[in-house]
Amino acid sequence: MAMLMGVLARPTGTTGIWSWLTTIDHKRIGTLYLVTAFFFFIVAGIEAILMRLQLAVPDSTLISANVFSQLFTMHALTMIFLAIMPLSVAFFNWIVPLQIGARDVAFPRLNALSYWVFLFGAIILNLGWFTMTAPAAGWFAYANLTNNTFSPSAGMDFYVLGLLVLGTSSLLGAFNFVVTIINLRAPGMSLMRMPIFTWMAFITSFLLALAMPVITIGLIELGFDRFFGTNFFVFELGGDVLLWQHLFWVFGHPEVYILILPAMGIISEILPTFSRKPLFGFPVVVFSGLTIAFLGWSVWAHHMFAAGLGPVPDAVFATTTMAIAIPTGVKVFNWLATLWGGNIQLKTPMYFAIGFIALFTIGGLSGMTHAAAPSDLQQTDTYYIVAHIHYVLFGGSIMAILGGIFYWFPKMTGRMMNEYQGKWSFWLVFIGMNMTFGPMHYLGLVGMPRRNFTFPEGMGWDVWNLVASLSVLFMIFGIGLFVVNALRSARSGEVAGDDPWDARTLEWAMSSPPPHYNFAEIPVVHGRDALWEQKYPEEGHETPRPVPAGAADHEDDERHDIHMPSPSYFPLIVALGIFALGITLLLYRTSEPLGIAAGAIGLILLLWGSYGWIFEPPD
Amino acid sequence: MGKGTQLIGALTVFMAVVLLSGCQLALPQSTLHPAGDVAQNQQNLFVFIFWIAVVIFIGVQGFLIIAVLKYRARRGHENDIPPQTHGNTPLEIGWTIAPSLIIIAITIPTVAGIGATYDAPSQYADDPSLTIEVIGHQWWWEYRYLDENGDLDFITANELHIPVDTVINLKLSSNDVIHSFSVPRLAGSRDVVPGRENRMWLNATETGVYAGQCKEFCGDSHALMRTVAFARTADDYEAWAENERQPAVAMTPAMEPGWVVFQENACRGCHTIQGATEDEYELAIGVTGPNLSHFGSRVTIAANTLHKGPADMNMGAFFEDVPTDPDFMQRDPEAVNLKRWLDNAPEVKPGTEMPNIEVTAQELDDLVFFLESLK
Repeated sequence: MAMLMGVLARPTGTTGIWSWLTTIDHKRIGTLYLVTAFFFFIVAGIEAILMRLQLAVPDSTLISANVFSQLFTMHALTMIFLAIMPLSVAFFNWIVPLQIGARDVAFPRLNALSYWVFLFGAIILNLGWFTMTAPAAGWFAYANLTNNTFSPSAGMDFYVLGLLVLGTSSLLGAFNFVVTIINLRAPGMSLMRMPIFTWMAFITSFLLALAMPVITIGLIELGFDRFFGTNFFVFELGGDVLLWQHLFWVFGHPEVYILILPAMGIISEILPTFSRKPLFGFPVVVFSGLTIAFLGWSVWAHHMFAAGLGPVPDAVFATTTMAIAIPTGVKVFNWLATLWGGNIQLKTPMYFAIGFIALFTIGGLSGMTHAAAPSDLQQTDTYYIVAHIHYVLFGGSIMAILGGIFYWFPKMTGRMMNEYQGKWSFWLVFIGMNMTFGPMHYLGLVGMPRRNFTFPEGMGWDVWNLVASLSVLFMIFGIGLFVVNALRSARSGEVAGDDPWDARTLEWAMSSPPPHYNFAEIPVVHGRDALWEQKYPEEGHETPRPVPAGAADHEDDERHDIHMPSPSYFPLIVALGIFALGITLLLYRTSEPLGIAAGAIGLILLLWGSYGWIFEPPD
Repeated sequence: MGKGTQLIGALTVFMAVVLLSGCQLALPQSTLHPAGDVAQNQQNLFVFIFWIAVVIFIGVQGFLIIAVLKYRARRGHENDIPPQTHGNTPLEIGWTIAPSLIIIAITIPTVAGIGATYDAPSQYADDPSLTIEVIGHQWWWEYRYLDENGDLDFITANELHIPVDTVINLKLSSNDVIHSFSVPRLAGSRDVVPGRENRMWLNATETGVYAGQCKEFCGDSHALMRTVAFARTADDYEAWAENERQPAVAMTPAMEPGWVVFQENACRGCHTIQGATEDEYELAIGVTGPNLSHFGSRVTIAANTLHKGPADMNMGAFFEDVPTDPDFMQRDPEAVNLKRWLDNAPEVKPGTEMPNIEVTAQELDDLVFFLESLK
């Protein structure tokens, strides 16, 4: 019956390509996200390397102006939407259900759909490379440079459609994690007993769910201007080019916190584990995360201090921006206090976490100088800002993500990454990042604007551009070594055991890698740091005594018949439908029949996929 | 362990080199070398915050290093469990209040200084003033000087001449996409937004030649949308302005071959040459490109993509050498840079509307002579 109605039987394979294409296991989807996003991280890195090659010497003619514009546009888009965001989502997928004692996310098939839609959105965004017409108006894509007159190539079409599809993926993921975290926590895990990483995932998911609709509005308006001749951003016809800036940054600034809050969550797990003491001031760290997320909505026009909004808006947005420094500072102080008095294990993840604090602090301090609007007018759109965002997003997000990969690698694969190589990776990346982005502070202050495909000789910019370009080599070797380390260790690393770091949270309570049902028995949570309290019950507080090994284990080892949902074809089918619909307008521009065909196929796949999804048998 | 030590060491070296290089190099576009009050105020604010940031930096990094050194696990004690401190409310309240106070200290001068980036404060009411309309084009700057009545005085391009100690009010608008006007040594940027008129002001407190460039990405040749500001004594400025007000020089027989090349290549469709009569420089009334009536008096080419000095002189050296009165600048007798531009403009400035005109060497010589005669 089901087959007659076009509903496929659920796939059953657990190995091979089809098992990956149809998986709805949060851990496998996490791995898919991790691998895909790391691939795009490398792609965006190569784009950056090409730019640094061009800027190594003045008046360089290696790369043309237009290709350079494509490179810096795609570098930012790829790093933000295809690397850092999905790398965070990879951790959400892998870790959140384990930390809260759940068997999976609330909507496993929706989770698979998020991934496939993300992958297809990423492909659409990058399609332009095949014809060298990638988006070339900056990731911020200020109107009216983006209209058909000033951007006649298909680049901005890839931008609009790619980001719309990616936004769909982000929204699906955000809803899924909000519902998962609210509903699927283990018994006893009140909100204030929830691990800090899960907290940051929770806050980030809300930010995503609220920020994505804003950029969607902007993208649809831009798409209508480009495809259907409307005039939202056509000033000659009464449109307003600043409307785009407002929409973009109302999304764009919360987006910054979408990129950094998960990283803060990661290091807030690593620091306590390797200090062997709890996160200092847990409620304050949670609350400052919430404050950052909340205030993050009130600061968008600090990206527009030069736009001429007037003294009153400038003053308001300068003040709100300054205010964000307070919860951010509080977080840093709490991390420092977590280290203080600990028994600090200097393992590789801890190196990355400490590096995060050192570098993120620099990014935060330089941020204060451009929160001051008059000062910002000198710094905006110079290399000073490039330095700032790389200290925050590379020194912050990427350092935390590398540390997070190292930290959770044993849980994901059952094997340890190599410590010795890990430390080499850290130092290479740390030194390279400081020598590449550090001099950019100075370059910006002596007037070198960003997004310039070349610069003239003798302006005081030559030496430090060369230093910045050469230092990229350190990062190439550091990241390269990290990848080699991960690939090797996944096969032949030291076997990790359940809890190699003597960690604090529930993901370490099960075998590594975890069984597909995660927990044989859903644990009951009696406090924060649920696993730590099992291992080292506190008596009369202060100095805890360890209990003998095994004593804290659950007594039963019998496996109950745990029902987990079967894999499904339909997330992939629906995503293919969204992909076909996503490229419909693109194709329509070049060939009407092709466009119509893509649209028809897309609609059929989407409708069939959704129908099959609904009526799919449970097993 | 040395992570922090290394960081501090690297930063010390970095800062030292920064300070040294600041003394040695020409930095014509530096925000750290103000030559006007707006830039000076912006730098003062930056420096104030910078030193606060330095103190916080040393505090945080120092604490981080000390914490790691002091509490790193000792051999044989790796598995010791330290006291499980969960928090300390007075401490946490303290380090919420402390940054709040710092932030308030920074916010006050910030807010107080914002208005003065738009309009000259009242203390400048007695200074002479001059209003200039700045119009952004892909990828050059049009400057329309207004007289005291707000009427158009004269039009020029790419080279901004201003008298020192004068309030210069700039009215910013765009002909196409968003640009951003800045001459960092005089004032930080303000965007040039199509469909809006933005405003900013600046003054120069010392004579000099300052580099500027568009700061908002505006298309492929954004990097080549530069400008030069000449801050001059009031007399020098007035002499220059008086020349700009005049029509272009009368045609001489020696200029005629170049004028023919100019006509045949449709240059006049985009460029204005204001003749004394309507017949002179007939139909040279285009407004797509810069006004060329006094092109010969300029020292830069194509929005300072190139300069008229010797071709092997780099841009930094040009800014060091060019006198505040451009009449005294040594032009390259071979006009290598100018010929490069005139012969194949898109090669110099990707995406420019000025075409590759494909002329002979002789025609190019004639055209250069003609243009350079337009003093």
